[in-house]
Amino acid sequence: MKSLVNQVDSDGIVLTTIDKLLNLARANSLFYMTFGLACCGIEMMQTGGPRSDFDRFGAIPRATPRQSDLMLVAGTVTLKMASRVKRLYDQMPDPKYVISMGSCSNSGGLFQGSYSVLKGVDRVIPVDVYLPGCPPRPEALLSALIEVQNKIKNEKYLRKN
Amino acid sequence: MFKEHTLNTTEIIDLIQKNTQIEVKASENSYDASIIVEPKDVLPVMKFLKLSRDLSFKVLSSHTAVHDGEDFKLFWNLLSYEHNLETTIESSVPVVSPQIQSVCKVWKAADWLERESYDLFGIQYIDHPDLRRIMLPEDWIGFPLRKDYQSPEGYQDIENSRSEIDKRFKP
Ligand code: SF4
Repeated sequence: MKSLVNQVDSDGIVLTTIDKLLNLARANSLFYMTFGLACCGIEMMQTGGPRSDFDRFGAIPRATPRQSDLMLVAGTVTLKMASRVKRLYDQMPDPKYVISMGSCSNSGGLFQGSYSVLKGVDRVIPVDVYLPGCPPRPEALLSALIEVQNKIKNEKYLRKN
Repeated sequence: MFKEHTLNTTEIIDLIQKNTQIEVKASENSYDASIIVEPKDVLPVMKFLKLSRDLSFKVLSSHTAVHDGEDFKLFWNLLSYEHNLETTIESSVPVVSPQIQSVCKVWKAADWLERESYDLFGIQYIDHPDLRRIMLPEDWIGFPLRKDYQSPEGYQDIENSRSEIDKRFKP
């Protein structure tokens, strides 16, 4: 698929669908909730730093679920935290997406034998992208973000159901 | 820096016995020498260790427990900056009735440390001002660091049993 910019003719007219235009806007303004729970959280902060720079993909950290579209579960989810994770997820406005970052949040990781750790965040909230690694490198997190963007771009936003 | 003679464990034990008339002994097979105190004598010994001018153990740096067979072993790590001393006090209570005097009145720092061993081992501290769980949720059942503890299959309405892949895994 040619990108929109390449389709601009000399007279500056682009033919596209509303869906595509909306999805383009949505995919490039993913506000993510800062939700560092353990060591993966440090890597998430690093991804926001100047070297990998999350912001250039339009992903901007928000400190409240009510303003975010994307939840980045970065770290070990304990049972005590699990109900809070669910509650924060419920507070986010639709449409919302979840990246489960790191082994811990995918499956409990190296703490899955522990009495107090949730064995995978998908037991409490739906997950869109599972990102393996302990911790995943910033590049991997960027690629997970791009996966979410691709998913958004292929959605039929206005014609749900 | 000036050098001064610092007391060793035997001398500390002598001081305790001379001043409080309480029988204490040194632990035998431990890497770091510690002083073993009967559980009923813990509070008076601690008071003496802190208030004595020759010792002034004003800092309780750590307190923890170990489940060892029929007993819980309790440890207190004490520091004295004034006399450049450190020591470990050891005591043990039976698992069936794990009760011991709280040392909160001696060191304020003991408050959260004792709540932690209550949380994870279920040790009851008599006269503790606020003996609640500190890390686990308040409605948690059981004390996880006891050897006979079984991990729960879930918590509240969250299902947390082992996955099928995990069950098939043979190390
Ligand atoms: S996956 Fe690894 S780096 Fe990430 S929170 Fe778990 S232990 Fe830490």
